[in-house]
Amino acid sequence: MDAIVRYSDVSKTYDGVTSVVRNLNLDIEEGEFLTMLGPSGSGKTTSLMMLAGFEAPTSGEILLDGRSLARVPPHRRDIGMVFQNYALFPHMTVSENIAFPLQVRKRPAAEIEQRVKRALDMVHLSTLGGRRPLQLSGGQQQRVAVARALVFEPKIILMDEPLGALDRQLRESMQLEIRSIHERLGVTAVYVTHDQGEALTMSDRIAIFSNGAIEQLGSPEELYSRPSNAFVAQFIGENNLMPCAVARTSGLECEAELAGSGPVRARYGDLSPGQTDGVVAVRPEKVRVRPKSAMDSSENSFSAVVEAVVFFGDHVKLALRLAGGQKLVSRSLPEDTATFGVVGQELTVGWNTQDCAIYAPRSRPAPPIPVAFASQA
Amino acid sequence: MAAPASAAVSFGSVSASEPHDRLWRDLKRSQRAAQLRAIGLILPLVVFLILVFIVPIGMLLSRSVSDLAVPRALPATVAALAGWTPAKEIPPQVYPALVEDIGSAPQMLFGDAAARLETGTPGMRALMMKTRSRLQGAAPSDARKALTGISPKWDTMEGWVAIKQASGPLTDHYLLTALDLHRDELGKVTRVVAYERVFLAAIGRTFGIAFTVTALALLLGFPFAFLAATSSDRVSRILLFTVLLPFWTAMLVRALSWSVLLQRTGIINDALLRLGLVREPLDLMYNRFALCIALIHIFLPYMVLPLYSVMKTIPPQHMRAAASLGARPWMAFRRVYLPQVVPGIGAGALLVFIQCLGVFVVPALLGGPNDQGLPYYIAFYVNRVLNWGLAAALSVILLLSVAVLYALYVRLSGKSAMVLG
Repeated sequence: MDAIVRYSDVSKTYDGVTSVVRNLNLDIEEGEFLTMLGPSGSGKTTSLMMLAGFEAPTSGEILLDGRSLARVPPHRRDIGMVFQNYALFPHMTVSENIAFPLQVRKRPAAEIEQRVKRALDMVHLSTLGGRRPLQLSGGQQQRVAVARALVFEPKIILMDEPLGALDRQLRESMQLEIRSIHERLGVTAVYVTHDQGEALTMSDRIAIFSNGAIEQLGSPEELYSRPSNAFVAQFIGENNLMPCAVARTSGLECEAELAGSGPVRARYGDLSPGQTDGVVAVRPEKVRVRPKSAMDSSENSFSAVVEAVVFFGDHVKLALRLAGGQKLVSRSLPEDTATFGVVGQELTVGWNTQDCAIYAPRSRPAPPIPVAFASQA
Repeated sequence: MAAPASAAVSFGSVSASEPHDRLWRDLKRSQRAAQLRAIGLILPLVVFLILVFIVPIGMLLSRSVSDLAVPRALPATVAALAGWTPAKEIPPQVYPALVEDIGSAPQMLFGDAAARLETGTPGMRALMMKTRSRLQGAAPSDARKALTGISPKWDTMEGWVAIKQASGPLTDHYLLTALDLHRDELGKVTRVVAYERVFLAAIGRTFGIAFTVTALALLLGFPFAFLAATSSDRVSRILLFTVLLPFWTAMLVRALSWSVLLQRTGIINDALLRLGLVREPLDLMYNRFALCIALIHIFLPYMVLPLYSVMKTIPPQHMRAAASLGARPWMAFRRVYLPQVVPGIGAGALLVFIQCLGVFVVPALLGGPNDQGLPYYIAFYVNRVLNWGLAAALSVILLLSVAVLYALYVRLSGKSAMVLG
């Protein structure tokens, strides 16, 4: 597959002091669903707006089909866009909104009518063509915006947090709907969101942005199972991050000490050679909990005290404290911890070496409360 | 659908009708306090408006059709003329009736009646006054002979037609006059003679000036409001401040400062003379040019503010969306932005236009004789001529034209499109 879009050393600054986007290099392949994921202010939306043509790079260039976009105004880029609040035109009906891109392209009336009808069918709104956007629910407006951005068959469709205004249930069904439209039409989609769950369910590839640069680019599975640094480990899914002192690295594994709790063996993350401070990252579902008396076969085994128990129906989470004061969260089936998952109980926790990794610590501190307990993300 | 509905009805009729009624009563009672409170809050304003606004305006407007001066002063004459039309002979009983009325009418009522007759038929005031002073309260046996002896005019139709047409209690005389029309001797509505036609021209002038000022204010205000609505908060605050500044000075002061600038010995002429651009001072004042400039300056905020408030509600994404869908900037503006600003244009234009119709001070200070609109004539008839009926009729025309404009606007823009700031 060829790159349909290429960001080549793109930088953007508004004030000449801080860079919103720093030396961005990214190839977007034809037909893929690529998500730009990151916290607010990470440069993902600016990167999208530069592709749409509403912002200009301070340096570098963006290529579309191998041609520079530098001198192409937005209206000649042939890129469909779905905006955060849909940007439907309130003075036009749904049909007129969808017909708009065809009218400005001076398509014949018969063709416009036919394609508007097909677009309405595609998003299951065939009967609502005569309504005004404000008479529609949020989910319906969203679908109109998608139909309008696709009706002129652009090469690429851009979506800027398109589901941000919808409630959770609607958001999940819209995720599936957008995904299935993408698969049916085979159009290249670039999607911006700060919701990692959304990114994981929808994308072929995800580019994780932080401070104007890409931290990691890969498939959802790659990002989840092999985060390349502490930021990604923490940003995608839930993760326990515990500071540790690195003792030795050998090949792909390294040994470290969790102060006061004991030694830990883990995969090698992104430590620099000779670096001694690190963080151990292990996901809650990889933490096994056993009664204190039971034998533990894990490579890394510690004794811990239960500080809190939270029941989620299909699973239960235990907030645990190790002997050295490190806090972590485990996730297991309710029936597995029924007897000993009690506050104040001492037990044994463990995980495999392959299920944890040691990274260089990032300046951004880990949140004081484990993410798992803030909400069920 | 039908099954649950009928179930609910049967449930209600069997066991819940009594509680339902009580529920309804409770709801009403709980709302009563809130209603009383709402009425209490608006009552002072309602009373104030009725006393100082609606009643006086109603009284003034009623003067445009009420016509009581003549029947009050000359009741017997009016009664004697009741069945008469100008096609018939003058009935003989009107002569003694007039003599009797002149003998008994108090000085002031008689004066009012003479003045009223004069507005319909020039010369009537003199005739009436002459007749009264010659009769000197006497009651001649042959009234007809006595009157025709005082003036042969009493032998012709003219005077009697004048009294007949003014015999009230309602009249269309003032409204017709305000439209350069009158009733001829046979009661047919015709145009007045050419040199007396002033009001239609004044109405046209009033509307023409209002239209010019509104159009130019829109032309100047639109880009300004657009800039204010699309710039950063700080910049837009400064821009709005500059446009609101004129609000802080009285209209009279603003008009006078324009005259300081524009007069023959004013700042502009001074500067032009010193720079050697002109040899003689230009006539910048007492003409339509000066009037329009001052009106635009004074009314611009009324154009800018509604435009601004509407533009502020249009998300900037709309123009971006239009561009991403393939519309050139002009097309995006015309098809996406402009239609959404229309309510603001309508509201701003209406505000400016209506105020231009009613403005009096500015044309009086800066306009020439040919730039005076209806308000000038209204003031003239109230203050100088004391013809309240005609002033009221001109006011009615002004009020009606505003009402028509407003209705037209509401009709064109749909019911919910009115946005006033």
